[in-house]
Amino acid sequence: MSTKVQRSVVGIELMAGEECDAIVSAVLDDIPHASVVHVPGMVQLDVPDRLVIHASAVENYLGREWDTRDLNQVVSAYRGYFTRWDQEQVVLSWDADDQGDEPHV
Amino acid sequence: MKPAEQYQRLTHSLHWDPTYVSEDAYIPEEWRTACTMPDWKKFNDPFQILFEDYVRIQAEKEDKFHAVRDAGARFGHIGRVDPRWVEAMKSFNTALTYSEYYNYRGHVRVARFAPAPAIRIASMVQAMDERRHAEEAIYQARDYVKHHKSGFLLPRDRIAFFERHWYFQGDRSFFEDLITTDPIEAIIGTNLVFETAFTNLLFIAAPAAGVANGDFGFGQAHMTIQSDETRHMALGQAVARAMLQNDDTNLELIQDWVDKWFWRCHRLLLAVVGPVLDYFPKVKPISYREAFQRYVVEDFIQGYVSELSQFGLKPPRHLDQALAELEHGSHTIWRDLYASRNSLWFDVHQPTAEDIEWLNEKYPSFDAVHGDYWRAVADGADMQADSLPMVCDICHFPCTFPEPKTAVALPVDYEGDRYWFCSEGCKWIFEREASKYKRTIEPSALLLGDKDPTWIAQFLNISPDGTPLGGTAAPEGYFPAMPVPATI
Ligand SMILES: [Fe+2]
Ligand SMILES: [Fe+2]
Repeated sequence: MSTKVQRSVVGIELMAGEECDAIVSAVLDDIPHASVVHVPGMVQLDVPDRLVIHASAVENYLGREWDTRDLNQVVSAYRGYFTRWDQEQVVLSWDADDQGDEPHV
Repeated sequence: MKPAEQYQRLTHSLHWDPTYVSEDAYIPEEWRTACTMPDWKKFNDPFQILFEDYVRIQAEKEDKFHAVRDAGARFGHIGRVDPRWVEAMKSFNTALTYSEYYNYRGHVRVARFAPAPAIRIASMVQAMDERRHAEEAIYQARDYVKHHKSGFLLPRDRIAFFERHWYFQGDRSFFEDLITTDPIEAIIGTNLVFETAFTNLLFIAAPAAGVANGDFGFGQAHMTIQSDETRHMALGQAVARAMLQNDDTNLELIQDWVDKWFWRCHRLLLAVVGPVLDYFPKVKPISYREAFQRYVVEDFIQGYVSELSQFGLKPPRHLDQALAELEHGSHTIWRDLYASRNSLWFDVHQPTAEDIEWLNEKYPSFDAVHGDYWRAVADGADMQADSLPMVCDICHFPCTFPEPKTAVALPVDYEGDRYWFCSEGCKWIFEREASKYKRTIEPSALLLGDKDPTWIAQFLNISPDGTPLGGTAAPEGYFPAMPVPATI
């Protein structure tokens, strides 16, 4: 648990659809116990401490290229800080200096 | 060109320090921030969005929104939206359309007067976002007018209502206050407190309710609005952090602004969004209190505020009072609305047996406090208010919180006038900046107190049954909630 905050949960709420499903599947591969809650029109994805979205994993599920900048189209809410958002990874963390994971292979 | 270099050209390279005009001509004193930073040019917006990406992404968002609207019209979804939900939209859309437009005006001003180049460009982009949100709200209104048999009206046909009915003065005064602040206060108030802590109640919880009641257009509009909000929140968080990190003399100001806007947001959302989650919809996926717990308490207080506590930031000073009001707030405002139902253009219904069951389940003391009121209504009591409610001189909502029997009304005497406040929070806000909030017009209760119903109907531009008469020819006179300087 991060000691930086009282409640160390990060997460995103996504507009339901293909991109959302791919992102959720990619995150569940890394964090199988992530909480996934369906509400009308949306999915709420919450995990402890930090969340890393690897573009390559999302692309695998989507079966096409996926530009991380397009995450802005489907994220409606989030908790945590976006500490990295580039072509490879999007990182949500309560540690403001979190620079993400080693590259995925 | 690399994205970082492109971003640099768009922000820092577009900035210059004026040499031909004085500082006063460049940023007049009233718009200059009281915060300090060793070097404003070093501040960077975490999103660093490039204009070409912005245009592409926003265009796609718009295409998707209009695709949902088209489908709604083509296949008849709009006409089938549950009628009770459309009544919610009559209220909510009235508040929202103008609020978004106010926000647009506010951010244009921040873009002009903020001291950091990166804040200016981010605010310019945000101004375009807010303008888009206002236009989406107008499209939504147009869809109901055209496709739903509910007597919906375009914003231009209900402007007098927004400017004059007591229920909307809370919204109007909130935004008129927000767009007349120190530019960094505008960022803290809008981007950190309102957007990070509270807009999820508007744009996530409310669309979930909309979708549950068949309103897919509203769902799409609001989820796409909230996707812009993610950029705004990140800016607010970064500005707060930079202010606290770089100069500890900023702490007191940032804390005051967090405290002030937390209370103002709490009061506004409780009164305007509370009914949209707890009363209007037939199918209710989430209660106002549950949404508040998730987005305000867990995300904002236990997340962001607690993370910033390493720099000395404390939870908002009236947090406990806000939490204490949640059990009764939306029920109280619904009773106020019910008592004024003849002057409202949306239907304020008597809760059905199913509604009451849900309310009891979500709010354990509902029956003990509000049960008798609705039983009396069921027995035929009229409950029509014979006068306008006494409103608070800060939030402009009635002094009826937490609930009518234990309503709070706190007096303050200032420059020979007596002012009344609904709560410690509003009183504190007034006392901190009394000269900003001193009364410039008579409160509506006094203004309308001795007037006959025909005059009041004319004042609100409504027919005797509460329907707005429409048209752009609003009745004579404009009554701003507070003076808005001509420079914006
Ligand atoms: Fe907006
Ligand atoms: Fe108040």
